Amino acid sequence: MSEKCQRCQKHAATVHLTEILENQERRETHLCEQCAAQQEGPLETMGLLSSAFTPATASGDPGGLRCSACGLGYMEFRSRGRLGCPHCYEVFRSSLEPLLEKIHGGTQHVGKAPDESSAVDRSRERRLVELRRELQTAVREERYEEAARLRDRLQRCESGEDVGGAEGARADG
Amino acid sequence: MRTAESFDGEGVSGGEWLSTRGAHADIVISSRVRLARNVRNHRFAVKCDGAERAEIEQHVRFALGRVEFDEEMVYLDLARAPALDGELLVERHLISRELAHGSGPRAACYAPSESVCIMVCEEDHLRLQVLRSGFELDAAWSLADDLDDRIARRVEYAFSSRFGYLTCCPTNVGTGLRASVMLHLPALVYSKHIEKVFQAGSKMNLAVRGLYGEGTQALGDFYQISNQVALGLSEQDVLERLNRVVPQFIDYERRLRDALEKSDRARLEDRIWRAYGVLRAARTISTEETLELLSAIRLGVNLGLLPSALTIETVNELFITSQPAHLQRLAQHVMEPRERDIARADLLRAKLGAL
Ligand SMILES: [Zn+2]
Ligand SMILES: [Zn+2]
Repeated sequence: MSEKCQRCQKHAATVHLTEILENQERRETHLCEQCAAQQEGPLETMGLLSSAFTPATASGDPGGLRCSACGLGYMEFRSRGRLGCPHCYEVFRSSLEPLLEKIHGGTQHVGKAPDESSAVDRSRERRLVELRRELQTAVREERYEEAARLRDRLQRCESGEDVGGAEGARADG
Repeated sequence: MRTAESFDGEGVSGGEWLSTRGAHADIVISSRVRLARNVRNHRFAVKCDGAERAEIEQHVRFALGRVEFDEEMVYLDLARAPALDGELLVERHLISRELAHGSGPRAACYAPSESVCIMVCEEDHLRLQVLRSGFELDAAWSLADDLDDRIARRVEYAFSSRFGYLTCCPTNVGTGLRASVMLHLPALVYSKHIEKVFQAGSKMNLAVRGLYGEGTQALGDFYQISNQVALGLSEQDVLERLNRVVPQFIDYERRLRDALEKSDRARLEDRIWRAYGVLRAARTISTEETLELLSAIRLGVNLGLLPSALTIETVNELFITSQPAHLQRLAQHVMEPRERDIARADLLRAKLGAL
C-alpha cells in the first residue's frame, strides 16, 4: 500500500486499474483516490492525450492557436487535456477531431439534444453522419469522383449551420 | 429546494440505492447514470475566475430551485459546509472527491433518498447523477433523461449539433453520458476468472475498474463497468451495450457460485464463517481487512449460509458506514487512523454481534 500515485506522486496509490490493451497486453495504473476520481473517464485518454494530437508541425500549425473567448492556448489544452469553454471546440477543431475519433470512434453527436429546435435538427445531423460515412467509404474505395461530389454535398449541408455546429457554444455572445 | 450548510443525513445508514430492491441485487449493487452539462456562454469551471464561478453557481442554484423534482432537494453549499460533510458525501457515492476537495463556489444538490444528486461546479457546471439499487440502468436513464429535460427548461446548455453537449474534458463530449454498474463478483475472484471480465469489457469498449485497491483483485471484490464512448453513440446504444454485457457477467458469477458450493463447499464455508467470526470479534480492524471480510459475508448471506437475521442491506450499509468520515461523524470528533480502526471494530461488533 506504500506505492505512490502515478499521477500526483504525492498520495499513496489505493486505486489500481488494469486494462487489457488491443494487443492483449495488460496495463496497470496506480492512482490515489483523489486522482482516480478525476480520472473517471476512460483510462486510455491519459495516454491518448499526449499521443493522439495532430503534431504541431502539421498543416495549420495548431501550436499557436488560442481561444479568443477563454484564452486557452493550444499547448495548455494539449498538456492538460481540458478545454476552457464551449468556443474552444471551434478553435481547436482541427486537432480535436482526430482526438475525438480516437477516443470515441466518431466525431458526430448522435442522441439527445436540449430542446425542440435542436431536435428538429436531428434529421440533418443524421444526414451529416450518413454523408460523412459515405464519403469515407468512397475515399477508402478510391472512388474519387463520387468522393468529390459527396464532399460538396457535405459542405452544403454543413453550411446550413452558422459556425459549423457550435451554435450553443459561442462564449462571446 | 432547501439550502443547507451541513449534511444532515443521519450519517449512520445509507441511501436508498443500498437497499436490495433492484433486479439482481445479490450481484449488482447499483446502477448509475451520469450526465455532464455546462451552462451556455460561460467558461468551463476550470477556466473561471472567482466572480464568474460564483455567478454560475448562483445561476444554477436559482434554476434548480425552480425545477420540479419528485422529492424536495437539499442544496448543500460545499464552500460553507465542513470538510467532513463533503467526505461523507464521497463515501456515500453521491459526489466525487474532486468536488469535495475543490475550492470556491460549488455544491451538491441531492434528494434525501440519495437516488439523485447534481454536482454543481465540478469539472462541468452540472453533473446530474441518478443511482438505483440493482441492475436498473434503464430506469436510471429514464429518470435522468426526464430530470435533464426539466433542468434544460431553466438552464441553457452549451450544445453543438456536431459535438453534442460540450464538456470540459473531450472524453465526455457528445451525450455527456456515463452509465455504470457496480458488481460484486467474489466467486469470479475466488475462482481466478476475474481476468475474463476485463477482457470481455475491453472487447466491448467498456471500462472495468476495481472500486477499491489491488488491480485485478479489487478489495471487497467490487467492480465497476462503464461506457467509454460518449460521442457517435446514442444514449440508447450505450445502454444497450451494457444491458447486453452485464447479464453475462451476472450469469458467470452465479454459475461459479454454484460450482464453489458443489466442489469446494468446506473451504467456502470456512472462509465465510471465519470472516463472520472476525467481524463480530475484532477490537481493531483496518479498512482493507473490513472490505475483504464484508465481501465474504456478503457472499455468505447471498448463499444462505449465514443467520437469516443478517441482511444484504445491513452488509451493504456497512461498506459505507465503516469508512473514515462516517466513523468520525458517528463519534462526532476527528479521529486518527488508529482510533478509527478501534471505532470501526466497535461499529462492526455492534451491527453484527447482536444477531
Ligand atoms: Zn494522486
Ligand atoms: Zn475557450
